[in-house]
Amino acid sequence: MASNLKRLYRLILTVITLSTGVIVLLSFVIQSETLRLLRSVFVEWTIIVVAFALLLGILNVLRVHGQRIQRGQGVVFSLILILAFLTVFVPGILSPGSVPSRFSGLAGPTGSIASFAYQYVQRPLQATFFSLMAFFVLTAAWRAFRIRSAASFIMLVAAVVVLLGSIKLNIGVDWRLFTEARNWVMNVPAMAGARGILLGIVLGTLVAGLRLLLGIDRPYSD
Amino acid sequence: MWPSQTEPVAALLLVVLILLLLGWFTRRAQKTTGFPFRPIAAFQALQGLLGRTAESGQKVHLSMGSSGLGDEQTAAASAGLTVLRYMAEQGASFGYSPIVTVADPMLMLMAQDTLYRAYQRTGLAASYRSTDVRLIAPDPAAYAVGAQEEINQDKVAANVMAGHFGDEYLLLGEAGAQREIIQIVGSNTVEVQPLMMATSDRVLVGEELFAAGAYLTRRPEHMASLHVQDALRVLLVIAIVVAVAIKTFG
Repeated sequence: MASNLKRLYRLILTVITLSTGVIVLLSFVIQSETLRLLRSVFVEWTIIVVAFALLLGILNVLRVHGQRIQRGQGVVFSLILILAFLTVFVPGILSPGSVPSRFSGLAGPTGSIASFAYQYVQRPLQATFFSLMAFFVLTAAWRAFRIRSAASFIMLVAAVVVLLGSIKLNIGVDWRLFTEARNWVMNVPAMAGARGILLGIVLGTLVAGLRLLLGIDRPYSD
Repeated sequence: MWPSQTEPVAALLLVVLILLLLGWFTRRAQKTTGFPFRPIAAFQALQGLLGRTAESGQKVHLSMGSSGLGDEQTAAASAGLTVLRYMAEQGASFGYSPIVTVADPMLMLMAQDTLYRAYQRTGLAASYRSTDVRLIAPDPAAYAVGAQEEINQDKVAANVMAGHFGDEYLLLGEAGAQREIIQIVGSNTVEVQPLMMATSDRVLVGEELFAAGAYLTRRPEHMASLHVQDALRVLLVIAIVVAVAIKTFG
């Protein structure tokens, strides 16, 4: 009985996925107003589901950091995270009309608290982390260029050629050789390799996407 | 809305071709005992990884990157879920699960479900903890910084990364490389491939990420999709050679 129910459940899931997938796929190919309308209805439903998923995600973040505080593991950072979340979230969900008029500028998703947090906290922090990337690249390059195999030797030679060729020095014909060698490395072997990888990724994405869309691959059921 | 009818019809023909090939190769895979695969070091390293780390009492971190469900990274997210399913099944038999970090709330739910079902199949559903899957942040940079903290805080023995990663990969990859832990990485982004090579010895290059299902689960439809990719690649190479020949001599 239980296995029959399980089979039925699996069948229903597959039918829903398959029909939704086929409708969405055909709506891009066949010029039909009905298919286009159905697609926009599915998109609306997805947005509603995403909103609920986001709420569950917020609860997950709070639970994980609540547990950390209980265990005494990274307490300060977890407290800062929860306080920062409450500071932005609570005024953000209040509508400006529901608070006394002198606080109305603070409330709402575009209120001054949310804008301040985005403009003066989140954006500078993001920029800071991306600027640290240069140092991370340096340490990664140092590790990669240690000659351990023929491949890392080729990588080192190519990197040296590209580095020398990228330095804009106008000191004669000999230096131009480095610039030309750099252009050749970038435009021929590097470009060929990157395009080969890209084509493989596109084909992989295409086949995996179709498998999902048509219910052949079902990560949502056994 | 539909500027030209040629492109959609060509896309539909391609989809039909892929489906026909998928069906044919799936039937062949069901009949044959197994197709030969070339060994991929990253997948070999995944086998038995959870068992080895469980013995040492340490954790394994699985990062699914900034992949999300419902956007163009869905296929990469699905590949990440395949890796999670494999790791969860390995670990669930002894009540041990990887720490999974995600950047998308929908993917978080799917990852929690995958983990729960792995525990359920082994009859240990009561041992499942939903907080083993952690939503970090939807922003890629914030996600990388938060996941990096997870790697350092939980003193993990291995860091597996499967999904979509942009430049923020380096923050995560370097955290693992500096701690000299086992790193197994795969992404669907071309620009990140050299960074992966620089930080890990076990890299899934390009489309190898999408071969996870075939290598780890050996299911006929996954093996068939590998063959479809190969067949399409051959067709593409022939088309490129023909086009070059026409352009050169035509």
